[in-house]
Amino acid sequence: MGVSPPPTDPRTDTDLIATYLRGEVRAFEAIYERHKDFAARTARRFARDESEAMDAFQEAFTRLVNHAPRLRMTAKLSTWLYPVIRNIVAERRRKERGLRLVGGEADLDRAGPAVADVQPVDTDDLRHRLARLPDDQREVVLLRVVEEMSVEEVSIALGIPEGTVKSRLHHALKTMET
Amino acid sequence: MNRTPPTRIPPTVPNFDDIPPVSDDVAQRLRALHARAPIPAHVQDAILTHARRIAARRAFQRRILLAAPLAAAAGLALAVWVAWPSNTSRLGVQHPPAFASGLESGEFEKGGRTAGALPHAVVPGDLNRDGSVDMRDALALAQRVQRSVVQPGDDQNADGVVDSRDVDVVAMLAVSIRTGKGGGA
Repeated sequence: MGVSPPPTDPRTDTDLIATYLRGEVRAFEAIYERHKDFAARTARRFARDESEAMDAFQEAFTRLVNHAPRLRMTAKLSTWLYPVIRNIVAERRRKERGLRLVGGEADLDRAGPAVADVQPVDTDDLRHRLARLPDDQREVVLLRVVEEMSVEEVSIALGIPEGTVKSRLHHALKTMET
Repeated sequence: MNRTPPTRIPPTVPNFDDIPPVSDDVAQRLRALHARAPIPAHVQDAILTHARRIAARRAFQRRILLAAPLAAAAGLALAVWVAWPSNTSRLGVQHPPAFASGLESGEFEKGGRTAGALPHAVVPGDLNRDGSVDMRDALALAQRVQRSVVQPGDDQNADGVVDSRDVDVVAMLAVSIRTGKGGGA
């Protein structure tokens, strides 16, 4: 099962945004199609429930539309979307007890039927291994393995050095092995 | 007493480039764990509607930005035309004697516009044939160019194309100061 469908438009994210800024709305639709699954997964990881996730998801794309003229992209758009979505959720929960990356055991249990439908075998063990990881390590694993980002892209998305990405990934995978 | 300096042992730097590989099976199961429900249609519609609305607004702003210099030039020219203290032509061209005598006798309104049914002089740039080249001619030509409905004689610069350059020619004629022999503001 592919979590990210192949992009139907061969143009780069930068080209699509430039084209959208010239007035071609279909270019934005192509951007949306390309990144919506990633953005939705990211929002669902941080949000407490589906409603909060979809609010953050919509707000992220709204900001993309509004900030497009000032956007300076040096990598894939997903590296811009990830911190934006995380910040949106954090802003909404600033007065609460702080942002926590969803993906722990209890959070993954909330995934419920969708997860069970997709892969009913051996998921419990994997959930537990993932749940054992600290938030920062789990975040790197998810971006690197699930979102298939390069180490450089993870570094940009999280705003941390590549070496830190590698060390977190190294420790996380070692922990998950045991 | 000679003291031997302590030997510094450089700290060991772990090599994290050696990241354990993730098996395809584990990777696939991880991805499956994070496969979730589709995005609700109303959320998608809201995003795309916003994108269309903002794109339309930006297109409108672009048109305004493009039109602003032309409007400013037209406004300036109109101001010059209104403020010009002359009972003669504001044109850089010589009127025919009949037209000039009409100015003197008052048969023409101040500013070179005709007061009555006098025969109109054929003046370059006088596209509305009112005996005067002014911003109305330029604006009329600009509107025709915009609508792509041109008339014979609109090609003021004789380049075979009726476009904004012809409007510029008429506008320049309308605001030019007569400096030739026998002229005077």
